[in-house]
Amino acid sequence: MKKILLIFSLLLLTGCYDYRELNDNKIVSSLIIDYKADKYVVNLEILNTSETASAGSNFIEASGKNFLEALENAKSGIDGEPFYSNMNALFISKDLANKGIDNILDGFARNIEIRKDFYIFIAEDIDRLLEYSPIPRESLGAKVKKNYNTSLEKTGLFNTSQFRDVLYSYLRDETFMLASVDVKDDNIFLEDNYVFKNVKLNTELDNYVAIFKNMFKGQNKTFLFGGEEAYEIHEYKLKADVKKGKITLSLTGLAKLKNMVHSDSLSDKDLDSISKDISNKLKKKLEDVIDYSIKNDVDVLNFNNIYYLHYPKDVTMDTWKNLNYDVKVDIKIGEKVMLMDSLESEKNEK
Amino acid sequence: MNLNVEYLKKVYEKNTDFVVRELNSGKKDKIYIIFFESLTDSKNIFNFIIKPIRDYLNSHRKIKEVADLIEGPKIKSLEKIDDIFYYIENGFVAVVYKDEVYVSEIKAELDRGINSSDTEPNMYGPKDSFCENYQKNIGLINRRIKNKNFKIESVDRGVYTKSKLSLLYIDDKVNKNELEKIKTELNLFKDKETTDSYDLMKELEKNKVFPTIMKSEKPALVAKYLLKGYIVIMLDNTPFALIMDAKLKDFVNPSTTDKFVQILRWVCVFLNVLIPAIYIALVNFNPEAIPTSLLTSFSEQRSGVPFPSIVEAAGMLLICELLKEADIRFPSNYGSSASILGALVLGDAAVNAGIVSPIMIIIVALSFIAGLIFTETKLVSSLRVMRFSFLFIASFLGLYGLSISIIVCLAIISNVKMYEGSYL
Repeated sequence: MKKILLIFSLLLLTGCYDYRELNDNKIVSSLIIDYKADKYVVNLEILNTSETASAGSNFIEASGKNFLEALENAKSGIDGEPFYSNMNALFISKDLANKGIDNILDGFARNIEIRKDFYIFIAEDIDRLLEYSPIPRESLGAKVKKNYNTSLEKTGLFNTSQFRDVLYSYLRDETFMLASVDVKDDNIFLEDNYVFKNVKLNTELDNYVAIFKNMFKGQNKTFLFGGEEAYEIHEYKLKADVKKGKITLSLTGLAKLKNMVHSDSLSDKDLDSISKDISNKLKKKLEDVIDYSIKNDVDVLNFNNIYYLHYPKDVTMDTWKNLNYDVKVDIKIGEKVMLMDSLESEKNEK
Repeated sequence: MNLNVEYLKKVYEKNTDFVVRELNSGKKDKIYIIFFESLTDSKNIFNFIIKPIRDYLNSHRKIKEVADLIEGPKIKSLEKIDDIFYYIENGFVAVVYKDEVYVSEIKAELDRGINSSDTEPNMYGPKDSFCENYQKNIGLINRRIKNKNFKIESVDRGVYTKSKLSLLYIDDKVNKNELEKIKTELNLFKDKETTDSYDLMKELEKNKVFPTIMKSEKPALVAKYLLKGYIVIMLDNTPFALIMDAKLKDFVNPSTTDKFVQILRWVCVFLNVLIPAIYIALVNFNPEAIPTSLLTSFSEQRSGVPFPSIVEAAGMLLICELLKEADIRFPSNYGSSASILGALVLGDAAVNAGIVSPIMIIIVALSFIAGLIFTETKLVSSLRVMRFSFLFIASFLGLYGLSISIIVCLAIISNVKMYEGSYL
């Protein structure tokens, strides 16, 4: 009898502190943080889980002296507890990005209930973002995340980072890139790429920097190169070969001629010439990125870290600027792709 | 040796089926034919006992040897007078003349014959199953194992029931220590009245939650386990043989040889025991482990449900258990109405009334269906105990508590007492 009483009292008087009924959790899909008049203004995008809801989510606004206070104040406007674990995206206003996001990173890093895999974006215009009205079962955060993943898959023109990567870069004093989003006619799209140095927005970057950054990480399968006569580069490999005082970047891969209708009419000589042309253009772009980095004193491709992995004792904060860089690009036109193109064009003609 | 027939009549004077037929031998001593009407076959008694004696007396008028007059395959002369009680109570007919007592086995057909199994149906294996007749049951196994090493040791149990209990084993395969321990255990309770193999199971089993004795009414399965070195106990008047010491894997996969099905059945154990608990732990403590779209869907479905999810889960599981129990006990004519009522209550009305969320119905149904694979009642009840225990632990302690309790449960299972060997 004593044992039974003990078990019952244990069960009734103890338990995990974080018990919460599912409906008490208000799922936060994204968080928008702005800095206005010395105050942090947060907008929590809460998912509507009611079957009859007309919109997929709604925004709850609150402000505070610091970011955590603003989040705490937001709770009063919610019937339940905000649940951040399934957050898709964090949007930061440009004003806040210019001021620096170190305290935001610190706040999120300390909160164990927040998962660290959400993406961070820069909001070109917070008001326009807040006007976006998602359809039922859709949300701003999920939509932006989906758009970004599609862009990674198809073009690689934008590069942003997940919270944990940003935090990692912040702790190692490295630069990181964030993409920006904007809303026009209720359509969300990715706008620009920005580089952050010392967790402050430093400058806007060309899309090619994002492409090369994504290539280094192996994040995108293909990327588009060129204007009207575009080439799709695939099965590529961008490697950094490090030797004492020198980094050699070598890019190899296959190109697919996107807008060439009668590609089968090209001779081997033509193909060689196109391959060389693409390789030279890409080499130029990569060299431009390196030059730009050195001129503006922003290590956008994190050469310092690459060099550190090989010569840890030789690295100081500015080592990357004094290194020699060599770029080798070898892009070939894939024959199989050419064949597929010609077959497709034949089919279209029939 | 002299049998006092009057004494016998006095002993059984209140048994209306006790018959003492007196035949005039033509001399001073009469021939007594003694039997129980309910246990013997009257027609055969007339054909094999009464008619031959009467015919003989009609032609010869002088009896030399009574045994010669009785026809039948199994005739025995009794050395001890007291033995007559045992034989006539077991369906024998006693013929008494002067100081000679002979018994002949003329049992009535009181069993239902060899039918196919209701509790353990199979698709391709043999269809026969045990019945209540001990001899037939032994015969069914004997037909399958024809070897001199196959041993059948029999004893009578109980002062009143005198049930025949047999220990079956294959001498060169059985674990001798285990055999001795089981014999010792059986001897401890040899005077205990036993009418059902279930009583025997309760006596022999050492763990209250996890079964160590398997019941089967299929001779093919029993023979298979005998050949594996297991010990089988058969009791008179019960159609179930007890297989000892059965391990957990024997209960989960009693007869399947298909590897895929074996794995599937273990998966079913997992689903049956843990699915409700994992669901409760996930939604109440670790919703971050659920993908957003699924979490939104769960949340949508639960909106409007007034109870905490643990009450919802425990209530639904309880209703399922009640339905299952009702389905087993109900006469088959009523069985379907219980199922229809259950389906209405569980599937439709509860959701429409907003008492239960559809996802909970799915979780409970998944667990329930996984449990239907197992027919061994003792295993089903131990799975039930585990299911409810894990559910309550998950509701208080979440995934962390659940994982600790799984480890504790495994430790308990591995520590289940057996006569010999380990349970896992």
